[in-house]
Amino acid sequence: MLNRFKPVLFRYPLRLALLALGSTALMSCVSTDVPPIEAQAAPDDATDEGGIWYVTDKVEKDLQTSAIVERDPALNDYVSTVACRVTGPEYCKDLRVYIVKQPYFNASMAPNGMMQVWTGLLLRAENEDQLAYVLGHEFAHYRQRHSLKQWRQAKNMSNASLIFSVGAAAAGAGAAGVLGQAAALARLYGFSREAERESDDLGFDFFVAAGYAPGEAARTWEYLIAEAAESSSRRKRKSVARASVFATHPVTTERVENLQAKAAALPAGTPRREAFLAVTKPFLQQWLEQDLTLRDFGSSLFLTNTLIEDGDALGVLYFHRAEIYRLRRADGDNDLALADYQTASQYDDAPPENWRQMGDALAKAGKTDEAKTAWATYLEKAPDAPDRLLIQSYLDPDGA
Amino acid sequence: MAHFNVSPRTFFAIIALIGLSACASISAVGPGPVEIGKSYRISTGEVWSKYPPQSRTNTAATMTIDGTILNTLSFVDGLKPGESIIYTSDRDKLIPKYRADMSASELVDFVLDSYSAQGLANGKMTDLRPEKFGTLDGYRFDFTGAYKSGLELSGTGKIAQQGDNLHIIIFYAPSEYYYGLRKDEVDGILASVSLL
Repeated sequence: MLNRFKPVLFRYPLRLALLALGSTALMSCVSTDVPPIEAQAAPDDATDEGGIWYVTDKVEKDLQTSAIVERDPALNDYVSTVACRVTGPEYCKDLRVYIVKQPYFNASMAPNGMMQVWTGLLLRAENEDQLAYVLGHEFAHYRQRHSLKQWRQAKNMSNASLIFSVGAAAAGAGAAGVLGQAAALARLYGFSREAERESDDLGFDFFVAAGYAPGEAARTWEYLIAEAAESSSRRKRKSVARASVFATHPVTTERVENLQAKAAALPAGTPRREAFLAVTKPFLQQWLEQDLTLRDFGSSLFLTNTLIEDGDALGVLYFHRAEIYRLRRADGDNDLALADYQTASQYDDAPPENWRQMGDALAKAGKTDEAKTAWATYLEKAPDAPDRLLIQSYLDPDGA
Repeated sequence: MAHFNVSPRTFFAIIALIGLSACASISAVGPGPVEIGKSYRISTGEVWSKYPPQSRTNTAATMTIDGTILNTLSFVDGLKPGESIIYTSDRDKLIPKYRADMSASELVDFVLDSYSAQGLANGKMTDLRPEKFGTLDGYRFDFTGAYKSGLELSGTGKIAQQGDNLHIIIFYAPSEYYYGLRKDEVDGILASVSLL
């Protein structure tokens, strides 16, 4: 722990001294009864909260130049607008939204107003309302200063050194990269059951006040639980929805029932789907490909089947389901993959790679002539394909 | 094999520690022939620093001229079906594993997906073509991507199956300046492969 600590002391002596002083001043027993943060307020540097903000500012600075941040203007504008709808115009000025290219269902809002929305969340949300609910939940953690409460509770239990080491790691002293920093920081968000319940309730109120359909709040968590139950990861199945970084917000049946009860007392409303789909659809294939890198075929199949039921972007989705079967390689998966490649080929939005993989699947099934037709179609659809020379060698082995 | 999730600062610290504590394990090789594992030999035109095998990632050797953050040339010798080229201490983590019946594009996907799982951002194959690996039928591929810190990188490599086992040679470096600086040397190395 000390070796992590040392470089930070050298690099940020003043701020860390302030944080340490603040901590020492509160050493006896600090109050965890803190009021909500005011809009456009920032803590004094000479407080423990000021120290926490400083650490998160450093993480945010690293994130700003990171390759894992999605910088598409339309998508960023849209997600920021949704976030501001649930926070309201005053708090909106305090938040900065970063879309992070990571395939897990996750969002977070740091104590300094840095909000991360991971692409795995955007992939899984069915509509704007579900996205808005998660962002409202995160905003509630921020507004209620749950990180500060968590910090002080830890101090009161003499666990401050542990939390402080997290802060040091997040400040860049640890071996973690940008995501590692964020993950370390996320330990500050490992909120209590009470804090989660409070954020559920407040997040729900914020999102309903913004005009979203109340029933979508519970549906967000219901989906997560259902997908986790189908995971190929034994641990994820056992812990149900706790295996992602969203483990900092464990989802329980009790929380789902709470949100269902709150929604039942209100008019149903109509989920906003069109605008959400319009802005996320261009990223669908990219996000699905990222999801496949996790090799959690059970979760991926559940997700893809859910999206197929929704009936949009079917060429992309059947191609993707075929890719899951191709990579999973269970008995009979080549036949399942081939069937889905063939189905995808009937839709205009199927990507050119569909025909390349269909050719491979046909070749594996011993259907050489049909495979060549598929490969030729691939080259017609993608004349600048990166593997053009390889495919040409398949089509004309003697000429290669 | 892959280590994209390590920040440059941390990486330099690790390299410095390695340099201080285990000088004997890093050797200078070339110019000339260098044996890689038990299966093949390459020939370099310059002097490279060669790191010892890493059994956790099934890496037979890693070589660099300017330091691994500025150029890395890694070798896998005869990866067996079911094995991986990345290491995780998490037994429940699902990672890409090699299968003997993979097609050429699947082999490259396996390599790039493995690197992505270790932190390569925006990994994308930009070229794939048949090319001999010694006397074996192999494939040459190029790719681009980025370190998570945002630094863009370019890479090239060669793969081939010998029976059910897979040989991999992969080179990557920051796109700006360093990739081009060693590209001709690496092309020469990739063309020099001969089976033992």
